[in-house]
Amino acid sequence: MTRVENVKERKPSPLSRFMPDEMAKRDGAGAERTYVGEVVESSTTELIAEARELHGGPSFGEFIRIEADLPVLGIIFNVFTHSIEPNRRPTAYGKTEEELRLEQPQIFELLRTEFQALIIGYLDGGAPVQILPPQPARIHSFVHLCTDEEVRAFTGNDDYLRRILNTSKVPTDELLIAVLRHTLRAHKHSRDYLVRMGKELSRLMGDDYDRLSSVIRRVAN
Amino acid sequence: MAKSKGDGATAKTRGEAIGVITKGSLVEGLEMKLDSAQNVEDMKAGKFVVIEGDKNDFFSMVTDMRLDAKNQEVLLHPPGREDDILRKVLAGTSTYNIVSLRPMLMMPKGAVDDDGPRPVKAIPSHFSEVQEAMEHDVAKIFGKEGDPEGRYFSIGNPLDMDTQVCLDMIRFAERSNGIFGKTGTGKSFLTRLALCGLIHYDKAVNLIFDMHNEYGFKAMKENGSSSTFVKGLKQLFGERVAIFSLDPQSTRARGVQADHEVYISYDQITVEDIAPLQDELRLNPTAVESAYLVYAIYKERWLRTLLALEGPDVEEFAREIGAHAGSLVALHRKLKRLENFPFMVSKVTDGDVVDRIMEYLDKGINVVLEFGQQTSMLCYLLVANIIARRIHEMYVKKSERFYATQRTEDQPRQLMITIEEAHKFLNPTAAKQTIFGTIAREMRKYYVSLLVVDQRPSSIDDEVLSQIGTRITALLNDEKDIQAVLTGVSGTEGLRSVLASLDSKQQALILGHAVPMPVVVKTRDYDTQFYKDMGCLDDLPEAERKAKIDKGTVALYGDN
Amino acid sequence: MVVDERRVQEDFRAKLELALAEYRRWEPEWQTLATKINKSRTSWLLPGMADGLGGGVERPERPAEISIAATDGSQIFPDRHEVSSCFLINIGYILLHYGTGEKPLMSSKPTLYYREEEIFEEWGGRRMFVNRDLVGFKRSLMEFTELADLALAAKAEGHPVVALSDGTLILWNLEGKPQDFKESYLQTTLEAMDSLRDARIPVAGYISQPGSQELINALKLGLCPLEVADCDRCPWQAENQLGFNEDEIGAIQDDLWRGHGLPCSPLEGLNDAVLVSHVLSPGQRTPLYLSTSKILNEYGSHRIYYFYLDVGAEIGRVEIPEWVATDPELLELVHACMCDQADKGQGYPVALAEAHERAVVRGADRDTFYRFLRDTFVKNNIQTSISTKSFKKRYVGI
Repeated sequence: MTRVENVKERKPSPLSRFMPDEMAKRDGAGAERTYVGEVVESSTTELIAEARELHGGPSFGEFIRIEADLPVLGIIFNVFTHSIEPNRRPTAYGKTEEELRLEQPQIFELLRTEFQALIIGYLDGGAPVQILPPQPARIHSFVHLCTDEEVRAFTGNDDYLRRILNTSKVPTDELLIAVLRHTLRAHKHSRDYLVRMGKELSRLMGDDYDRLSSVIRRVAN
Repeated sequence: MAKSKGDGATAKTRGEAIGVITKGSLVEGLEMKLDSAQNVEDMKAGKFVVIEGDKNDFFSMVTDMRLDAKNQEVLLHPPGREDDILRKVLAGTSTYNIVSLRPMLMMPKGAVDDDGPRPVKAIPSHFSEVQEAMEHDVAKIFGKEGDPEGRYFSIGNPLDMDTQVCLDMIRFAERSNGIFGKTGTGKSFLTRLALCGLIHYDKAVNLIFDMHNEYGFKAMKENGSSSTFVKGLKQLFGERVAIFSLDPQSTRARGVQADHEVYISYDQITVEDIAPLQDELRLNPTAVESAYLVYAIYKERWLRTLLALEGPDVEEFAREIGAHAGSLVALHRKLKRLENFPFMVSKVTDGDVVDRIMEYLDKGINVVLEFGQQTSMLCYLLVANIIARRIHEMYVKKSERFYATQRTEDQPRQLMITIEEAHKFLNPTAAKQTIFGTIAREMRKYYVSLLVVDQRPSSIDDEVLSQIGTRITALLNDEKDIQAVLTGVSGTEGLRSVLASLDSKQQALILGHAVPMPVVVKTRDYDTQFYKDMGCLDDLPEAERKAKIDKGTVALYGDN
Repeated sequence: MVVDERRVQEDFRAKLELALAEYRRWEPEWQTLATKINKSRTSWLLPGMADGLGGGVERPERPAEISIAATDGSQIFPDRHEVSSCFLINIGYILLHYGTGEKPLMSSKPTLYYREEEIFEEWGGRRMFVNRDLVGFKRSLMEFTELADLALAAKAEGHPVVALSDGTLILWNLEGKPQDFKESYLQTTLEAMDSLRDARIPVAGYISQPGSQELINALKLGLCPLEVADCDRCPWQAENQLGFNEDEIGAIQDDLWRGHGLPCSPLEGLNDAVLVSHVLSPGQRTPLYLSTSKILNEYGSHRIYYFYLDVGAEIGRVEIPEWVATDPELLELVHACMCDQADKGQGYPVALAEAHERAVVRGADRDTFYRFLRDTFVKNNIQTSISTKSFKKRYVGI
């Protein structure tokens, strides 16, 4: 690996003319940026972004912010890694990832991690708004993870829970649990907060006590 | 008090929100869904709350609570003990608490103080907020001690509040009142408190038939195993209280010099005085008729004459006067018991005791009649009857004179007669025979009212009960007693549960004439502070006491 | 039908058995055959033998750290239906680093040729529009020069590297082209070879499912009763019988009419791969043979050697320049890397497969290309025309 670093110091690299444009860009100006992905599909209600690194997508249920004039906020409801070539499927090699990295390095270039986010609101002048944004996030905007502070600000009230419960895309409860666990962490594991959200869920779920208790138990664990 | 006023001061005038009104009716009372942040265990029966309606504030009392669940599933699979979070989540959502409220009074918002609270004729709208009552709410309704008229006397604090609940002593004195509660719940303590109020604010002069020697001088304070003594009325009010004793020896033994010893001559006892003793003496009606026969011939000497006879002569005597021999013999035998009372004398030497009592009362001096060792019911009934009847007669005369002259100086002082074990005097049979029944029924026509102290209100005649203005009730268990106390009060459903759930000490439900709405109080402490409030100077440092006495003298007699 | 099929199969097996028998017969006496090859003049291509005819060489071990460079190309041919008679060559670059975990380079670079001087060339004194044929040449030349550049760059960055080219290194199809064209292309190729040699970067061309028959041809030569074969004057060909005497003809005709055809006929229809597949076990290669293509006479020090390699799934043909063939270290490296590459690519060298994937221009890309072109032309206010036929095929893209 030391060799690689040495190589980087020599500029311009003899290989740079063979590098794909985006790779050259990434090694340059983008290197110090902290984004986790880039939007590749966008709509009012959800978006798909490509992770900056393979397997480097945000976690299920995590809160993200998309750069824009009115930054869009979303929660990850699906992360998937797939072949970038439509007609080439990954096959089993029977090797560890370490072995594959050494001996089949090309396969990792053929995989992309992408993530799907449910849009839950936006920031207006830094203040969270629990309404779908007037304009969707733009393609190629950068995606950032929300800070705990941003999560706290956005989840101060319970409107986001309704948004999650109203989505039919994913196993809602699983998403709910994952989101609540992230939220709870941002709220410093406050039991009061959990109870408050639990009550809201109880209201939103109506008579479904089994469901409620299962969600609460799994969040609290 | 509209929220829109919104400044800091206004905000403070509202207590903590504890829930919202969800349903109810004027007749059956209201239901509040308890805010999930509140603990249902804090909602005690009798708690005083304010419902903030759109136009009115409704002053209400907590009468009942209920645990409820939206979903039966929750009840079939309750969260485990360790499932603390889930429990908290369910609280107020799937599981919730309903608190029943009884609106007692309503007051239009923004009403000036003179408007005062009114009876409830409306109910608040859905989701009206329910708040803990605050001091000023309580004061608005019950007034505050220290008004210039001396009208309000603090009897204690509402449950879980640190503010006064006052009795309107003018209204209290106007009507007969009852103090109820089963044994050991502090009836005599409540009575002493009420008497202190009457004496201190001088709203009525009292005649107290003190069966157990609890009011005049020191009294035992029941305080678990250890007993301490508390000050009696004499100690608190000094010259304004006179102690009469039926048993001066006993009184002396307790270190007190009675102001007056009481003796009763046989001639002072009328048949009417004997009649109410039928139960105690186990007389049958014919025996009483026989007594009337004797009276018809011998007039006031009837008893003396009868008791002078020896056993065998009675039958002879019966034949002479045409009475039934058996009855008269029985009457004679039973009345013989009266001879055993030390205070029964053939001739009183230093004037009629009733006249003496009347003298005191006229001067506004309260009279405590101690029975000393003479604690038998027979004795108590007899003496109370004799004295009360004669006092009443005098009051009737005085009143009629006043009605005739209509001169203020002729107006008799309002008299309140305190009797214990009142059901003995006022049970349906006795109430028709004793003077107390008459007093109770007459109301304040003749300026005499009763303060009845009893543990079995159900035994008191309904008609009498219905005339009782203010009821101060400690814990009662017996359903009949509870029913009796609530006779003549509307909306008793809620109060019933309140009554049954009172603490056995220092708690009482007050309802009736002297309070605008029923209220549960933690009664005032009967302690040094109270003595001081009552103007008792014993415990004050010398200089301060002197200053006060001087001031009092000046007020009474002018500056010279 | 079934009977026919079976007879064909039986016939084939008989031929194969004969070929194997011949192969084994010559194995120890390969030099005799080699001498005969050198002396004879055949109508078919014969292998030059350097170190034997047969026998497998075991697969050597691959160095733990090695980088493989590979390129492939594709093109969009000039299309008269489109707005402009331009063409595009897309080169896919692959540089895989083994044993270091380093991020591989996988990319492609298209080059657009649209200028007047780019779409018209003058060869042999004739100015001509660049046709499909020329574009093909241009592409394969570029594949090779770019491979050399890529490998050199990798080497310059400190990677030990092996360069793999898709297909033959023998530019036999330059034969018959105008001399200036041929020279120009050869020169460029050989200059790339020179730089690779100077950097000591082994380069190898891999031919999958080779149809070549050089070994079979050698065995056919071995079957020829003549001491020095000269096909042009083959006595078993009727038109050549004029010069033989009766006896000779009689003997020959006996053979001929006994159904054997020419003496070399029994091996007709076989190729080297079939033969070798029965000789090698996986990982083994054949000895080196020297290609005798005529064009190689102009390769100088880069004359091409080849060997067959059993990569398991198939027999592949690996072509290497002389300086690799004669350097045992480089030869072993090529052998080892080829086997390894084929293992990783399920029978086909993975670097080449990936290079192909990068290079290939798909239909959608093609349309994007033309759309881009048109937009560019419109932007630059150049009048363009699109034939309606092509227009209909379009779809709305990104």
